[in-house]
Amino acid sequence: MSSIHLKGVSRHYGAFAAVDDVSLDVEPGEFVTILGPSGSGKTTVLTMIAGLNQLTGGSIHIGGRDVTALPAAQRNIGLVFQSYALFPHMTVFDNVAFPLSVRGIGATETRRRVEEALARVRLDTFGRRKPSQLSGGQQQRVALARAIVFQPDILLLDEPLGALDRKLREEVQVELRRLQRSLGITTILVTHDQEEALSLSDRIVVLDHGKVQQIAAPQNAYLRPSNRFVADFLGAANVFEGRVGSDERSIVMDGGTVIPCGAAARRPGTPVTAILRPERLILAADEAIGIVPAMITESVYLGQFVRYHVETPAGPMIAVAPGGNNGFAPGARVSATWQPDDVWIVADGAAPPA
Amino acid sequence: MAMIRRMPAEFGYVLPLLLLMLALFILPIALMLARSVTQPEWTIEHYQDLIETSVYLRVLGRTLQIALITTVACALLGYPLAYWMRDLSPQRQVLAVALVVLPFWISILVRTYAWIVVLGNAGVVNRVLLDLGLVGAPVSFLYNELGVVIGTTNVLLPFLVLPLFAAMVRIDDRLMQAAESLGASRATVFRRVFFPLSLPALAAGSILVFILTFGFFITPAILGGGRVPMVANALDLLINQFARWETAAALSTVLLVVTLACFAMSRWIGARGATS
Ligand SMILES: Nc1ncnc2c1ncn2[C@@H]1O[C@H](COP(=O)(O)OP(=O)(O)OP(=O)(O)O)[C@@H](O)[C@H]1O
Ligand SMILES: [Mg+2]
Repeated sequence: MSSIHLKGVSRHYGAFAAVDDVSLDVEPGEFVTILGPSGSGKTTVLTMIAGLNQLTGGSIHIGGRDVTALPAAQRNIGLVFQSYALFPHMTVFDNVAFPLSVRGIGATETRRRVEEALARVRLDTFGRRKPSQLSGGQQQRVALARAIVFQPDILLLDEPLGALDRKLREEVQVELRRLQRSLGITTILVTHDQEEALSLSDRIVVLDHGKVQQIAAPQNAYLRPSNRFVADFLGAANVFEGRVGSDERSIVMDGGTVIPCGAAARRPGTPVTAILRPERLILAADEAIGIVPAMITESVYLGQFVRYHVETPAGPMIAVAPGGNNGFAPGARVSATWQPDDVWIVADGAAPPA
Repeated sequence: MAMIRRMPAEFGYVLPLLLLMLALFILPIALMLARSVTQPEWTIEHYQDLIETSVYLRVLGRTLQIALITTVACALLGYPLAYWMRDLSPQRQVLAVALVVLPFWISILVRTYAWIVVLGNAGVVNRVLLDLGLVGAPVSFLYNELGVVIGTTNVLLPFLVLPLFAAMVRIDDRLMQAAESLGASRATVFRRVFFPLSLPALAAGSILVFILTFGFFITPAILGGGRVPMVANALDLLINQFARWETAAALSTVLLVVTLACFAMSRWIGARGATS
């Protein structure tokens, strides 16, 4: 249980900034996810915290102690690599025992703790196998066992579920969250899967081009993204571009369509971009009662959900409704409604940030 | 029939080469080996000869000894070299590999004679040693076992370094990083992760060097000056000087058996390395 503080952390390769001025405070016991597209610098941040990569700027404190110059071997961090990095020449047991044996822990104690760690990841009977004799999911769990067996102060996980199929991934996610809670260990998980980030973490750090885009609780990041990039990256969104109306509670689009929204906190006339999540857009059969009329152009059945593509005076929009058998057929004329507060202004100006 | 039908179509492509090898290589060897037990009739007297004539055992023993020393010398020199090359930038690695391979393009004869220029009684090294007053008389580097070992080590070092380097490059850096982040010191990381992972390649390369030294001819002939005959030199004498084909055939058989045994061992190590 240690806090983690990054202060203005940067990593430059020549003129290229892989990580650019990242600051982040993680509370003891917190589960934080770093989310970002491929190449956004997630792994680089993690390896710098682990001490395997040099900072070119800033500082890192763990548990209140400045570790910026501390060798990796002395940081007491459990790290699970994107590629697992299990030792191919050792058995599962020896892999998990490795951090204990380099700490000079005796044989009986080692045996007890390795068996406990393997039991935690439900691999108690696999100790004698070599990593090459395990499936990807099992290797991932061995890597996890090896990272927790020595009771590290913090746990760093680099896309640990990337190689798993959807069902197994969901299982391991639940297991991971349970494990993290029972150990109460401060954890940073890296992923480019927004669902994983939303479902697992206390807070999400969205990274792009090495820069922090937003740090927020999952629901806030999803419904109240700080910019267009975060809005798009966390899921589908209906986008409105226009100017703040004179009542400051609406957006007037170029075609004259008025979109009611929450308090704009901007002067009337300011050009703005706003988003509305598809599941917050409600379609009603009666053409007259909604905010804007809509015509169904396509309906996509997704099992649990149905996704409707509709044409409206405000442009094409998407709505997601619970799956059922009384949905709308393409061509149906309906109307679209939403809570004004669900329309969230992400940026001034029409141009999306690069 | 079943066998033939299961043969892949590509078999046709290697058939000409196989026939050529069979006719020009395997068959003569088989005939040669057969000679050791069929001349003048079925007999093992040529092998008894090998055992009873102490000179052959001495030659075999010396060959074994030189091959072992050369192997150890190659391993001790080659391992650090390959390890150092692994950490170079890619451009420098290309350069380093080129330098290691460079001697291959120079005739082995030229390289061997070059050692006489360097290590002879009037050679560069001895003159420096004498001028510095470090020795009173020239040190005899050549025409003894030392000279042969120096020569064979020089010729065979690339055979160890190249495969070892290739294997080391394939070892994932993240394994060492993982070990480090799990609390291992640099020395422990090397001892418990890097070295064991490079060991199969080191063993295979060493066995290759051993096999090659065991049958070496030119270098011991020149740098040994005829005073350090190894098995191949003894064969040369037996055939070209004494026309003792049967004894030569028996000695060749011993050479082949040792080589095949080493080869089998390297395959076994390779297979073990692959499964781990
Ligand atoms: N040693 C290096 N030299 C130069 N550039 C590097 C180096 N390591 C990483 N980079 C660059 O830094 C950027 C961030 O890399 P990083 O591995 O942190 O991305 P990531 O967010 O983990 O991506 P992914 O999701 O694909 O794993 C990338 O553009 C990468 O090309
Ligand atoms: Mg990565």
